[in-house]
Amino acid sequence: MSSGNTNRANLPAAILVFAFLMFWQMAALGMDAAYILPSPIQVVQKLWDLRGPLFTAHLPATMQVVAIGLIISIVLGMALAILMDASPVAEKALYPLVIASQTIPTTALAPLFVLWFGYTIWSKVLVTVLITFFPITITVFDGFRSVRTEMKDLMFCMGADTRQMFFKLKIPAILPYFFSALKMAVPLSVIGAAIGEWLGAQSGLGYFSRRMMTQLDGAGVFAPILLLSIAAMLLAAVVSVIERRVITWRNE
Amino acid sequence: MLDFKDVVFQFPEEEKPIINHLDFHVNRGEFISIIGASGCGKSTIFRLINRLLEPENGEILVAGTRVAGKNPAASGKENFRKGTHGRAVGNAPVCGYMPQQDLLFPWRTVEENLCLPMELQGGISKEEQHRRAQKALEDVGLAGKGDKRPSELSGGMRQRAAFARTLLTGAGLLLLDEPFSALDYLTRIEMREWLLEQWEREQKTVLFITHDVEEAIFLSGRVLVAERTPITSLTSVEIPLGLPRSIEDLKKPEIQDMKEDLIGKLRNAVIDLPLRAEE
Repeated sequence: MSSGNTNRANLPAAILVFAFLMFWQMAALGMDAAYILPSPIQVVQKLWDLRGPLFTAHLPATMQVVAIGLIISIVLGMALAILMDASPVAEKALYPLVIASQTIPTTALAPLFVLWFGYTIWSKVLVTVLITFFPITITVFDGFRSVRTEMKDLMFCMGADTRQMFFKLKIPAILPYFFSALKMAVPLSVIGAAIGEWLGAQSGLGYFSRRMMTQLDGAGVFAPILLLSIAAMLLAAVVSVIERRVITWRNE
Repeated sequence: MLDFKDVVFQFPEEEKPIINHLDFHVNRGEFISIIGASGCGKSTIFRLINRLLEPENGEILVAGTRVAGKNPAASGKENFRKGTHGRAVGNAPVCGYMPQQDLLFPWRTVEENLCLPMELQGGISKEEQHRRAQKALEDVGLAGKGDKRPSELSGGMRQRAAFARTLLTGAGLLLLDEPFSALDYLTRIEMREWLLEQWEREQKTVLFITHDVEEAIFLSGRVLVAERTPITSLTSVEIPLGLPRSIEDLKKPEIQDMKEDLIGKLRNAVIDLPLRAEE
């Protein structure tokens, strides 16, 4: 698809966003209470005023949590999926637990993590991992289940051993699923990091947003959130670019 | 080349065996079709030969070597059940298997797909793999298509590529399981003639499953008919046609009679089992 086509396809969405921002701006001007509803322009101005601490201290702190949390989630999620694929016993034991883990209100538990790990990075990483590993595990495991039996049979007939079956059939077959999982996981990891920081931290965008709230600085609450959203979108875009490089085949 | 000796097989969820004390023999270099009604157990015969299933009794010999049966070292089912698919590396497969769908891996190019069986066997250098794959592509009429993705090929071309991959397993016995059934009629006709040429050149033993009687007559030196399920024997019918063959040969009266006779045999086939989906 050419970029011209993509732009035209995104036009209705762009118009809607613009209309929404206009409406917001008008409403904020009408209310004239920036501590409750800052206007979009005020938010952007605030972001510019605070660019020093936001970009040098708080954004790096949050990205560090996101990076560590994502890596742990990918390793853990893949490991669980591979284990459940390799052993039916592991599947029976783990699958219900993985699903059940999602019914735990992580946000409510987060203060407990602060209690355990203090204001260190690990309380935030734990929140991030808890909400991020799940889509990776489930989606990659679905990928394993989608590997066609006929292809496994064919590999067997051609004399493949377990290792070859894994690396030459299963891994390439699940790659599209892996990237779908990653695209879900990236925004979740940003949310997780922000929640963790909101609840107990000394730096990070989530922490900064909360501090601004205690000062009744509406625009100051929104500015780091805007930055978080942009960071999540950029990360997701990076994943999409890598995906397009790696997945060169059409999935059937 | 292939011997079934007193082979018995039963699916665990069924009451009776689907194959019961079956004996048959295939000579080296023969082209044999197995015909039978849907669900009669034709595909089960293939799955027994390539060790996806293990017979309960009897033995199956390929080129005089037992491939399945009571010898646990050669049994695929145990491994298969556990999902380990265990097998010594460096072992050439007992037979080349070509399924109904081409099953070319979409993430590999056509040439990489052809190299797969050689990669799995190990001990063949990249250059040698490339050389053999290129030669095979030329042989099957796909010269220059090696760098394409399977999705860029037509149905007939994909089946040719799948056949080339089957050849590159290096096995002397080829099991072709309704390989043309998903193709359109004209491509099918063309592929039949093409397959006969391939068989003459490669000097392989071919076992071909089909439910198309005309296809079986056109291709085979001998047709084995599964007349009843459980399969206790296969009726062998010689096809009185020389080589090369053309589509015109099928119009000869004796061939027409033979076709009617075979269709009659299939229609009267006794399937004494609840119908199960063909695998």
